[in-house]
Amino acid sequence: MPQQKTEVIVLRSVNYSETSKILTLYSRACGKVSVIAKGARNIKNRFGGILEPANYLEIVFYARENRELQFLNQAELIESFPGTKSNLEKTALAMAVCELLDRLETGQEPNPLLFRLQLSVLRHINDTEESAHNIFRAFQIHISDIMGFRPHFDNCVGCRCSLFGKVDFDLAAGGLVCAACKVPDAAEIRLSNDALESLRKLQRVHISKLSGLLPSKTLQRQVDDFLKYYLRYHVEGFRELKSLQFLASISP
Amino acid sequence: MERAISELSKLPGIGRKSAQRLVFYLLKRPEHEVRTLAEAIVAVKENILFCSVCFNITETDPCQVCTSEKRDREFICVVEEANDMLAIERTGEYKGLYHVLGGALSPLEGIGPEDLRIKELLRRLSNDTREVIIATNPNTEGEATALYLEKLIKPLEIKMTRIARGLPVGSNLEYADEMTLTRALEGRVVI
Repeated sequence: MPQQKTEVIVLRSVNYSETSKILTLYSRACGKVSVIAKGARNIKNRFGGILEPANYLEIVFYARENRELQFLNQAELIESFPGTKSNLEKTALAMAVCELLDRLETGQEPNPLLFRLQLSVLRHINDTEESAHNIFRAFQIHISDIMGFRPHFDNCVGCRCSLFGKVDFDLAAGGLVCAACKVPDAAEIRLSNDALESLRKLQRVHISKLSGLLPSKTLQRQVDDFLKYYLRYHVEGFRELKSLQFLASISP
Repeated sequence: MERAISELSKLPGIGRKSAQRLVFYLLKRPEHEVRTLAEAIVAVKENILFCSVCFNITETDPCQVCTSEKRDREFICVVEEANDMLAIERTGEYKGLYHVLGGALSPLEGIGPEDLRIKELLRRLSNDTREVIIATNPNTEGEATALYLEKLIKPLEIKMTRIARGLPVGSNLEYADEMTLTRALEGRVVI
């Protein structure tokens, strides 16, 4: 039975039987992996308290093909993001990052870009002294890019003409469409000029420099609605993230 | 027999094979013993209820802890489940009251404040409350719950404490993980 050593980020941790945990992990070396950590809930277990969602670990597991659940052998903590864990809003957003990745069909193929993106986003959520919402918004756009359905916010995706004012975004085409290129009955979202400009910045500006973007609640709602519908359209079976519902429930 | 196996296999941690073993075991026991077990199970459902004050499981409402003259009413210890309260009671060290939330906030499961008995806790706090002790689990959900309660209770100017997190008694320092050791260092006490 080959032993596999890899870096992982914990996406989900579910209690199993009296003392064990089943973990969903996103790994650098083999994509998404599910492992069982036997005895992980015992007070003196060998994993300690490190098998929590959004933790960055190095693990060793017994990899057996054709088995959905692998056995976790060792786990070492690399980063635990304490700045996130001591802030409720940041905790919810870090969980939303993990939940979104868990919902995507990423398979067991390694995707170094996706792993690096998640790690970088978790680090920025941990480090930021501003609201971390924009980091999560940018994450949703970047993950769409990596998964192969990058949204295009520049010219019309049909004829490449420039567009001004309120514009229509065709969800299937993944970009803006002018009046001439519009397809009848296509699923579209109308975007204001400010929302479009914000989406462009979320896509292009580095995630460490997003503070101050989307100052008004109306603009935030427009962008959040766009991202929700865009992901729902492109990700099969996608439902609203529970972590974001949770965040709404604790917001004043 | 099939019905008994099927019903028993609905219990947590009991698969079909374990259920089968249990049924065969019961078949070998005297009838009065099996009847006592069945009556005890029915009695749990019929006689056990939630205390209307602290939401502990009890046979009388309010529960024995809430009505006891010996308990210190200035202290309220907040726990996730009634099992946690029983664990603290086993220490014999705590003489205050409890509040059972009925779970913990969970972003990943979408469990928000409305799903827990948080409003009921806030209603219980009064001028007589000197300290609220947060005894939620030291995991993501427990920490989120503690942070949320802190946000609500701190402005009321009631002393809030969190039970210490760190090394279990009888363990070895060198095998402890970094998160546990960090917590242990944060929670160190003067000797």
